[in-house]
Amino acid sequence: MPRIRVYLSGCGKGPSNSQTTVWGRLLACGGMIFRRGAFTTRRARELAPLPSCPTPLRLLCHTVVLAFVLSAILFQASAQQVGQNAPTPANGAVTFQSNTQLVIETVTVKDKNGNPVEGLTANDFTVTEDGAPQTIKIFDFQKLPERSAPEAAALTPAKEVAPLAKLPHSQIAPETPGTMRYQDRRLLALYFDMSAMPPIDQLRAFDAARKFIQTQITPADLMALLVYQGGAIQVLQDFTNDRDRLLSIIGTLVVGEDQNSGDTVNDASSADTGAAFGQDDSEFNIFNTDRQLSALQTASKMLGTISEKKALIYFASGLRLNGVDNQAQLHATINAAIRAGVSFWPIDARGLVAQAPLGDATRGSPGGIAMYNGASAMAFNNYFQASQDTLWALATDTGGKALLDFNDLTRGMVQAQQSFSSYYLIGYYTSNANLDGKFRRIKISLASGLSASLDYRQGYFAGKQFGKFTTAEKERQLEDALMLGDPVTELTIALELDYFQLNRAEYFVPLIVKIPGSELALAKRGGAEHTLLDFIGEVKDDFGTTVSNVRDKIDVKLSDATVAELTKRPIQYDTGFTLLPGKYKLKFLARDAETGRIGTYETPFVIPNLNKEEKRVAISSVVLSSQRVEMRDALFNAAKDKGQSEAVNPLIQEGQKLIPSVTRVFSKSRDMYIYLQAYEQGAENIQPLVAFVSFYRGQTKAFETPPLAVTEGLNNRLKTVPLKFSLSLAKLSPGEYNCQVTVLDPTGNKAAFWQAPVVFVP
Amino acid sequence: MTSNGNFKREAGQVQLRRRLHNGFTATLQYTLSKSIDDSAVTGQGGSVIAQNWLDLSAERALSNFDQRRLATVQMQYTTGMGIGGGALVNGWKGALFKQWTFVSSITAGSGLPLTPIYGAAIVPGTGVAQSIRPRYTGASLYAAPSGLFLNPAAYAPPPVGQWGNAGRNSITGPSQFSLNASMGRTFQVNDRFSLDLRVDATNALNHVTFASWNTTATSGLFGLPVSPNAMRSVQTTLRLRF
Repeated sequence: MPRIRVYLSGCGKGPSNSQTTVWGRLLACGGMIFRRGAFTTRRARELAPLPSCPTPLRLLCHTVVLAFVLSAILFQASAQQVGQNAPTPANGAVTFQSNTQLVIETVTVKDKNGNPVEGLTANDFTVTEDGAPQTIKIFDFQKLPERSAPEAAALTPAKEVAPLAKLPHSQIAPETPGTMRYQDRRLLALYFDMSAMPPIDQLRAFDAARKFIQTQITPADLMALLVYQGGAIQVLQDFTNDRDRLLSIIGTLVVGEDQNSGDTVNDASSADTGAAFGQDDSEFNIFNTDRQLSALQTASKMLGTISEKKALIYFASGLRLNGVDNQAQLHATINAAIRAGVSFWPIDARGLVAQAPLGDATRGSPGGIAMYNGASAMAFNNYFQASQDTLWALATDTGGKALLDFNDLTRGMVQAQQSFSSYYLIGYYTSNANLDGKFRRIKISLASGLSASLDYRQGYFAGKQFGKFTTAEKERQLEDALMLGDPVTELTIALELDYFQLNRAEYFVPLIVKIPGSELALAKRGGAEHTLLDFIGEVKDDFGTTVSNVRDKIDVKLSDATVAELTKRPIQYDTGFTLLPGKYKLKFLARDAETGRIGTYETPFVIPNLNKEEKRVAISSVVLSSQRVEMRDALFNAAKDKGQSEAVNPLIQEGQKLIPSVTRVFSKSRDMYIYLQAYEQGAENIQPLVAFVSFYRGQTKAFETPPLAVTEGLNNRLKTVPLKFSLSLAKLSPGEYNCQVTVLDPTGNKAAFWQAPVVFVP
Repeated sequence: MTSNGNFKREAGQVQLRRRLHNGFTATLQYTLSKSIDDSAVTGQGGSVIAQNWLDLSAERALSNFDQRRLATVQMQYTTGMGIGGGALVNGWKGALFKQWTFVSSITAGSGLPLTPIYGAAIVPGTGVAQSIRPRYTGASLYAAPSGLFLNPAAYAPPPVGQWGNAGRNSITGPSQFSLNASMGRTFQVNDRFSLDLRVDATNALNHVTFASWNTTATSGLFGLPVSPNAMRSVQTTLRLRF
């Protein structure tokens, strides 16, 4: 469970200007990350005859440290990460911004025989947006390789691929407006409506999809996989042409899962249960159909973030509207699809059905007079037709085609594939620069004298100003920004990642985020009394699977009392993850809800396996801090699992919390706290450790603490030995230093070093 | 007491369907059918007691529900559906125009069969008191004097000691017609609330049809309609969904 604590931490008396410089500088050296204890075996051997006396030991260490600093550059990713996403602009800098929105349309031009028309020029097209003529700035003809029989035959069927351990979760990555990520591609999204298919139809649908992927797909085809089950829509795979991956996912889908929501009817065709009163499922059915249609609407909206033409291939065993009650939702779904440029290609997974007049053996016989007067037989027929009607409507109203009463379901997919032909790419800068979020109707026509049928997206939604976002759109913006390949860095955030071993397997990884108060001052200037800070982040492992994530928001008061300090005082947020050793990638976003600015921080990091540490003393990250805060002093404390978090978080001790400095800028007027843990796994009893901290200025040592001998540790299996330093910086002159922490184990003849640059300000 | 029965139905059906597209869907259906039974089997409205329980074959006639010809038309149109239906009309026009749904169903059919009745009488030679059927005189049943729909002269009391020979369900009742219509719209207030407005009209044309005629030969009302079908009724519903 993520925990929130925010402190307004004082960063000394330094004027905000000097602080800004330091932040900027830290970014500059952010790429250089020191890996603690990165010795080679040879150097460790040099260390072997360690005398127990600390003084000569130190001499030895210094030589080692030099070598260590050199070798440190070799390591890219490290467990402890400190960095900042973007330089803070100098005060008073003016940024000019202008908005133009490039709108890109793909236009398929076909003649009467359905063949693509080639050789047209920009002058042959007229584009209007809401009736206003637009000037075409980008014009290109995109030739899609026509799917020819020999080509399809040349494709070797993909080998049988193993199913995955569990269904992956993905998202349709949005496109930044005005770009074409999927140029020259056919975009086919397979959508399985599991709730609308009995197991036998699910099998048939999966088989067809598999067959299509194995034999029909061409290099120009990109496919996405979506599933609707359990009342929710899941994206299993974003657009890809990786056939093996697609096949594995389909292989992983479990047939029979979420089999039908029981679409029973109360008409003459319903089974005679002998009960006095039939259960009235009609309200329930209305709700179910609405949900299925609404899921399709959601899917269209997801796909709508891509400006190219998209085909959504919808597998279902019919979908029945219940009178006029579902009409509104059907309307909304079709509308959303048209606006998103999605065409539905429904496939009736039942294939060709041979119907017994009064129903087949899968259901009870109808009863009563309706059996005799033909009402039952008629109801059966109507019921079946109505279930196909909706599929038909979804297709024809969005420009697709439904495959009904046909056993080879792959044909539906081939039809969708063939509907993509070569197209013209038309781009223009819209003359309506209003960011009102409204739908803009686009009309494209051919100049007089030419007649052909045009197929294109009928419009787009104009961008919206952040201030006008709805709650859902705000959430969506954050999620999109998290998925976006190229990070948004309007807001400056600095971040520190540490790790502490909890037990033999797990590590606690505190994440500390600092946002300069000057960023919030901007919101204050806008007259806001308070602002909401949104945080969203995710930790992904090497395979791109999300291991852990965090989504939080905090309300920061910008009352008059604090505004003066805002420019000097950063906002600090912390949370924590429990992870196993391994390589990870962290992406973290913060957004100021008042101005809508987003800051992204992305970094790879490694949690080392300290169990395997034999050459050196196993130590955790070193936390540098200038502040210890009573837990109750946290400005915002939304922790729900208070007791638990305090037990796990090593930074919380005796009701006080150590606030990591993140930026590593320290005021001389305050004491500096250094905290780390050493682990003596496997030792019978805790062996005494010796540790000291030294500060270097260039190559010269400026200050060194007396060695601290620690014999006390926690009585756990890891034999955790906490090492705490508290030092006064008063004697040191301001400037940049290298801080080095050395831990020595005289009994085991082992050592560990940690180094980081720090800055002292008056 | 007999527990068997006999039923036979032959029907031909033609259906013409316009699948939902651009908001419009319609079904036109025509059925030509004939069903014959000896009444016992189909459980037509509770206990049916034969006139003469010793001669079930005398009961063999058209079924109660036998409607020779039946045509139904069902139409539904929703505005602003699909590209062709004006899905992209924007502004106040769009707000006003879109998402209205009109539904109409028209049913026209020939009459349902009716059985002539000769009042309630004690069945001769038994203690059973029940409706028996009259004797058919041979006069044309439908050559009715003005003001009546059936000719009273077609029936006469059954001869003493005999059953009446007029067949069960031997009268074709008044032909049926109905036109129902409804109109509705869902107003999406916000994500959570939606407001349904519906106006339903049954017998929208207020066209008078009769359910059946009085077929009791002994009654002074013989040949007159029993009661008209329901007159026009309009129901307006406003429903807030959340």
